[in-house]
Amino acid sequence: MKNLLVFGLGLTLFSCVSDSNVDPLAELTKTQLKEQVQKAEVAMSDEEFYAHVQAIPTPLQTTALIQALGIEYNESILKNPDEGANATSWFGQAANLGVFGADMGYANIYGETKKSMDYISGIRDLADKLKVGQFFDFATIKELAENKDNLEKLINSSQMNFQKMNNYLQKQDRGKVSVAMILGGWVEGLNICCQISSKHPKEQALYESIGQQKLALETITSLLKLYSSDKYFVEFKSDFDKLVEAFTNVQIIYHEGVVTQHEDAQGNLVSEDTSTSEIKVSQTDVVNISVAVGRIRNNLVNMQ
Amino acid sequence: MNTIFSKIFLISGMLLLFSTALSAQAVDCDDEAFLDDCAGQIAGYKFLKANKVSITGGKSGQAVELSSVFSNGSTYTLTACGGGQSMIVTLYDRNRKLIMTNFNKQNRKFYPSINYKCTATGVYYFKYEFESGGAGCGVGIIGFKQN
Repeated sequence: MKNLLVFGLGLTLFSCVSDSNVDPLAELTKTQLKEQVQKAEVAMSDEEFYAHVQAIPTPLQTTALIQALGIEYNESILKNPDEGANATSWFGQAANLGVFGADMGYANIYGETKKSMDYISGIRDLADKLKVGQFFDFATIKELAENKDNLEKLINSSQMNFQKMNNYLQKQDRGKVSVAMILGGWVEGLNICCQISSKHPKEQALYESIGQQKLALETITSLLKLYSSDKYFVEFKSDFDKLVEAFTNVQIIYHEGVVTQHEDAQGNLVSEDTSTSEIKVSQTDVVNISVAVGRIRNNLVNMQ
Repeated sequence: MNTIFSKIFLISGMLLLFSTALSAQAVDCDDEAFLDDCAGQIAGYKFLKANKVSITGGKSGQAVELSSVFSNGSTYTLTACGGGQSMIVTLYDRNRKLIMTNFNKQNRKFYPSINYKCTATGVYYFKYEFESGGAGCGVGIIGFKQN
């Protein structure tokens, strides 16, 4: 009877603890814990932080636009995947993980799956160094990349894997690593657009895509303030301020319209809007933005 | 003595059943498979964001608001994956003017997804809440395609 009692209590206790999460920080080294796990220096709730991070545009929208415009794939503007994981600092690793993610997204959009695979090894190295490699499903991505019919799945799985890595970093209070990774991706996306725009200066849609990034500047500034005493963020902010300055004359003007709705054949609700926007960005603005973002990007990709 | 042991064992057993029932009811919204299932709902669109929604506490009328930049010339699809609960997603423009929602209150109809053809580049807001008005967890997936 006594054994039965112990068994019953033990089982109950087990059921109560079995759902508790394993310590998400357990796999980090002492150095990683010291350097990367940090609460923000400015009061911001986890929910607010998440809202800020989620608000930053992903580079995929920009690269999808470039492809939709019929512009040819240009490998020379991307980071060389063979120079992958040289970074030794956590900021360099995280930012370059973001850069590689943007470059892989660009290659994927064009169906350049062989190139995409070259980025996978760099992503794997950096993700493993940051101890988030377990959230990047390399086997599935590789499998999808081997068949061009799976392009949409490949694009979506890759993006989703980056989202999972980000979610985990935030769960570990490694928000600054998550921010560095997102900034790397955002900078690379903007740089790709600027580089392509310089080769296709008459393509107004690219100007607008560059100009609309002004909408992200305030959010990024708020995130940078959270870690204002961190040496890497201090350095990044110094260059970022020049980028903000380059956007000063960019204007977005709205014309209010009317929203109408209907159900499509699949039973989904569809809204159409007659509102329009004008993004006023001059060639000089684009040149200034290109110079400023190019400087940041070069610092990131050469970072140790 | 045996009676006391029997009672303790019975209570332990009940506790076990109760905790198991609770675990079965609650969906782990952090679970990778759950995220993948929800992301599978945007076929024909490219994955843009997965917005995790977690509302705790017993207050009614709670909601989570997130935002993203939408571009002129793209169509966006929004789905709300509530992990067993009915999750409502409502889209607002930069001035927080209501554009659309996946839940029609009048006929209590839920749409599997809502699609917005964007003609004005700007910041758009998404409000996520549960039909019950209370706590819950889920994921809002946003996809896009060029027009």
